[in-house]
Amino acid sequence: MADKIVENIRKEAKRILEEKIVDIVIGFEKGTLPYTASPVFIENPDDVDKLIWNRYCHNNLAVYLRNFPDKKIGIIVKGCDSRSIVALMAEKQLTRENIYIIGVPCEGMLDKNKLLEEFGDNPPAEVKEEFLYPSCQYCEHKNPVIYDFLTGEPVQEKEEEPYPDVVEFEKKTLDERWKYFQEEASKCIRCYACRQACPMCYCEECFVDTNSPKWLDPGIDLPDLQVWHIIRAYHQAGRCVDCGACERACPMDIKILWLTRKLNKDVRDLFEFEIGIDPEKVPPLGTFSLYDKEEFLI
Amino acid sequence: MKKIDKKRLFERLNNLIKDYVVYAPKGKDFGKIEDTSEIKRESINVRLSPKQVFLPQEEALFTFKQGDIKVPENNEKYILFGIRPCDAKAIALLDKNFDTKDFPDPYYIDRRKNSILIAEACIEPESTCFCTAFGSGPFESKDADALIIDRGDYYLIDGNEKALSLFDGLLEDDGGEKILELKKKAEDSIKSPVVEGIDKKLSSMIDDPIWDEVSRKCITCGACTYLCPTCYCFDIQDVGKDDKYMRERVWDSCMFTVYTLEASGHNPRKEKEKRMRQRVMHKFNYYPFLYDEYGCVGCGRCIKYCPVNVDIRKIITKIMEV
Repeated sequence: MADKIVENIRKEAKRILEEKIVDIVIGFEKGTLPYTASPVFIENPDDVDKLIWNRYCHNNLAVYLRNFPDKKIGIIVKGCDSRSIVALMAEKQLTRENIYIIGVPCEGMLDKNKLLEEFGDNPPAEVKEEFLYPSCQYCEHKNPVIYDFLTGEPVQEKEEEPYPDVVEFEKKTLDERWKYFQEEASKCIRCYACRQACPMCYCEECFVDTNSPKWLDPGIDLPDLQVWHIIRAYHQAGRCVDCGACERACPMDIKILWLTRKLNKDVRDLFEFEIGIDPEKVPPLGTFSLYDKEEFLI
Repeated sequence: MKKIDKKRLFERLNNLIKDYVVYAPKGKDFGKIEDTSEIKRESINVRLSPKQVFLPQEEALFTFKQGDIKVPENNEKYILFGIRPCDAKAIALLDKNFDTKDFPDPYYIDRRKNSILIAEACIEPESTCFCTAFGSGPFESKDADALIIDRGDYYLIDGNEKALSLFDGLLEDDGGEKILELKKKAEDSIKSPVVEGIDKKLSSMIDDPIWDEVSRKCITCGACTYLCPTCYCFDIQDVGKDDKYMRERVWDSCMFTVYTLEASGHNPRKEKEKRMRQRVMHKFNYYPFLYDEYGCVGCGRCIKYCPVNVDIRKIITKIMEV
């Protein structure tokens, strides 16, 4: 099955490059470490055999789309990547005509670190659900929501409550929640891998990089780390497609996904909005309505 | 070479904590310990490198308040226990940059001059290790004050007087134990790219198309540079905190867009291929030009923790093929 998908991806990539439908195809190549695939950029149709597909293709490739403003781009996407494309279209960052989307239904990506810990360098043939990345465990959109070409059988979507972790977290006391957040934020080294891995973090100038006004100090004082993580999450409220690229990119293993997931859940509950489904629907952060619910104001 | 019982070594180290600030592997990272029971390795090498001891991510150069300027003093003595030979070499490289004749850096030197580096040989190197590319190796002892080799209940130890005197009375004869085979096995397990001549080669590659190619997948975060044991770039900023004002030195990364952003708005390294080129050139061209040594020790952190699997070994190989 996986071999067939790889074959189809290569064939289609070759076709769209040869027929000049696109100038470049963004996909995955074999990585240099165990359990690793790595983003690759193919311009020559003869190079398509570099393209692979497996359960380690976890990067959200939509993060590269804005790097080629003058090119027509082919891109291989999972459910989450396709939602990022829709989200970027909704925010007028992409033109649909310039992108050719090769969709692959995704059964969830496997957590490299968990596998290394459990099996060392020798992967087993079958891997259980518990080795999925947390973002993949909760995923509601395994199948691409937008594509020009689809390969692989559609995957059964989950029907249950999509935020069991957030519901559980909300039950904790304010002190417990704050303590957990502080512990996680304190591990941060300000490398901004979370920001850079995120397709939605496309600001020309991030608030942490401005110096007039200087919103926060450099360095690793806890209050500064907290401000960074809170504001990063708030800027993602209802814009985040929950792909988990931020958390997977973090070299310090900081748990940050729950913050954006909590905000996504709030946006869903308050505005009945879910990002990355309909490119015509304006995200709540990008609009204003006199009828916005303001229950928090009493 | 001498032999030292592990239990007695740790007892002694515990006593030394009274007089020294002791750093050691603490799980994933390297950190200050209050007791040797905290020493724990979760992987062959620690994630955050020992450079943080001598070049902390954030430090006050001086504090000021209404004309009253204070320069912090540091008279601490340090023991860095169980660092890897690659990281000991990285510290030797940092010395070349901070302890110079013309511009000695007092903050760095104050910490460094009172430090003792005890390196531990890597009996089983990681798949990301490539220290042998740079004339070093998993058993290299020359950059540390002492090298210890784990033999189960005891360590084999060799080093200079400064380091060995810490363990006075505990050192026993090694009984002629040979480590050559162990050392060879460790060295042979490391697959290093060939780097000979890369420094000269790079001198003519400033406009090579390779930089676009090797930087495409890079998402320009600073993980590689912040975890790198030899990257030392920093920014200086004035900061006010809780009624205290200070001029601070904080880590900075050449991979960030704003690193070279000038006040005029001009940015000579706006494109990421130029930033990638800078990182590679600094390690393999500028460092050899300035200090006769490569600025990379082959610890493999940048490979292991890169979110998109940018592999510096692959970049080196590509450069050598040009």
